Amino acid sequence: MTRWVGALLAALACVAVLVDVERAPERPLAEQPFPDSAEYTSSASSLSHDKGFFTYIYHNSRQPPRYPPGYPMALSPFAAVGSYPRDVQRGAKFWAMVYVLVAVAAAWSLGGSLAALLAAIFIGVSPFARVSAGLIMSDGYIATLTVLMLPLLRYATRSGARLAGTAAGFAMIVRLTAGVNFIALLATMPRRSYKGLVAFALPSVIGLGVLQWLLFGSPLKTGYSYWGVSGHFFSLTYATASSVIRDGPFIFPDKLNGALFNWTCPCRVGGPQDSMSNLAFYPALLASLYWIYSPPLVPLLGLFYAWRRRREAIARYALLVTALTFVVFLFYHFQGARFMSGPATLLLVLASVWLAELAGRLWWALLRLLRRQFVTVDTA
Amino acid sequence: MSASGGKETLFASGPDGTAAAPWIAPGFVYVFRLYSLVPEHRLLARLQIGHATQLQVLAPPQPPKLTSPFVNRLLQILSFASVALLAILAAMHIREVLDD
Repeated sequence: MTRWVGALLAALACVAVLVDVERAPERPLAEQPFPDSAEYTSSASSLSHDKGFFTYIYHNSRQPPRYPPGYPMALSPFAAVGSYPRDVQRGAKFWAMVYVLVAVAAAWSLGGSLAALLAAIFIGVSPFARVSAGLIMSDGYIATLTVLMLPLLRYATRSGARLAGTAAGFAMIVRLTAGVNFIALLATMPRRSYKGLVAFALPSVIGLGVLQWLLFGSPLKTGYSYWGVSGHFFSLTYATASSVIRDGPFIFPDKLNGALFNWTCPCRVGGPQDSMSNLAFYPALLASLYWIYSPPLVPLLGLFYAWRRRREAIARYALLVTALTFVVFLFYHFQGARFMSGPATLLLVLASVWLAELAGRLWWALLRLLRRQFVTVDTA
Repeated sequence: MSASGGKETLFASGPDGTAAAPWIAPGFVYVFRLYSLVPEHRLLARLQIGHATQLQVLAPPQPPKLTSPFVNRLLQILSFASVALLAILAAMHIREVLDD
């Protein structure tokens, strides 16, 4: 009975968050981050209408986008129906809803309905999913592909390894730095799953190489090199430098408007979220001191839980993805809360699982105490 | 180049090379514009340094390579199929877990 009530509550919470995300306001394309959103939208439409992987946003001339094709590919089925750019915007909203579903399902598979309920609440009270639904940006999709691995590691099946490989391959062609997901999978999946994992991840990477060879003359040349913006992306000095280019709060804003870091100001126009070094910003973000993915400090519970269980595949995967993503973006020229969407959601899910476990233990301890008291009263 | 909204002056020209700008000073905004003169006068890029550093590439440096209609059709099919593949593999995984 309790199990059914828990499942019903979790399902209701998940539906409530999905409805909220579906109703999230869409930012007009002209006001979305340029050129990211504009290129994603245009190239998704181009792919969908059999015009190749190109964008038409530069004086209507046909140009290859600077970003890899993974996200436009995921949006392209939506670009086939309806009017531009609303059709693509609908696709972005769809993937934001899938993000919620996958995160809640991952929590459910690891910690039951209470964990799912908690994950739904944490996502529902945080801005990331809602803002993602109104933006044509790849961060929600990347997070979905990252968190999807949790239930696949929990139930290591043959088709699960294939799905993990496919998702890891797709993540790499959305954002090249998502290669950390694949490395983490190789380090955590059982050896018998390697074949399926690699066989289903490689086609995406090979496909990307072929496309880049066709468009830019070399499999290693990307759209960034075509547009002349590929130099000096990574440097050790970016960890502490103030010269990094920051998203600030203008793409994914902190629900608290930087209130927990106001003591560090005077700051730039965007407040503390627009003023910190990579070395200070990303740990603060991963601890949710900027409330974007989950309420403050919640991910620390997930991190603690993962560390205590670091010998298990799921915890090791979460720790590796978090550590590798942090290291990669620590030395990156661009700073944005969105780059941590994968690890932040992993930690949110694990925090929900741990809290559910603690609540379960507390519940049983309470029951035992009550039973003991009744038995004492009976025998008296 | 124009300093703090002033008149545009020639900073450097040529197919490639470097040039020093020792007169850059804090408190001013400098805007550098890169033009191509052949085959037409065309603004390619704009770099602003000062309060808010900004780089805008307005026109690509070389004409893009095109892909054949066959490749375009293949990309379309792969794009549509990629979403379906995720859904099919997820369904297969769920079935396998439930069977176990």
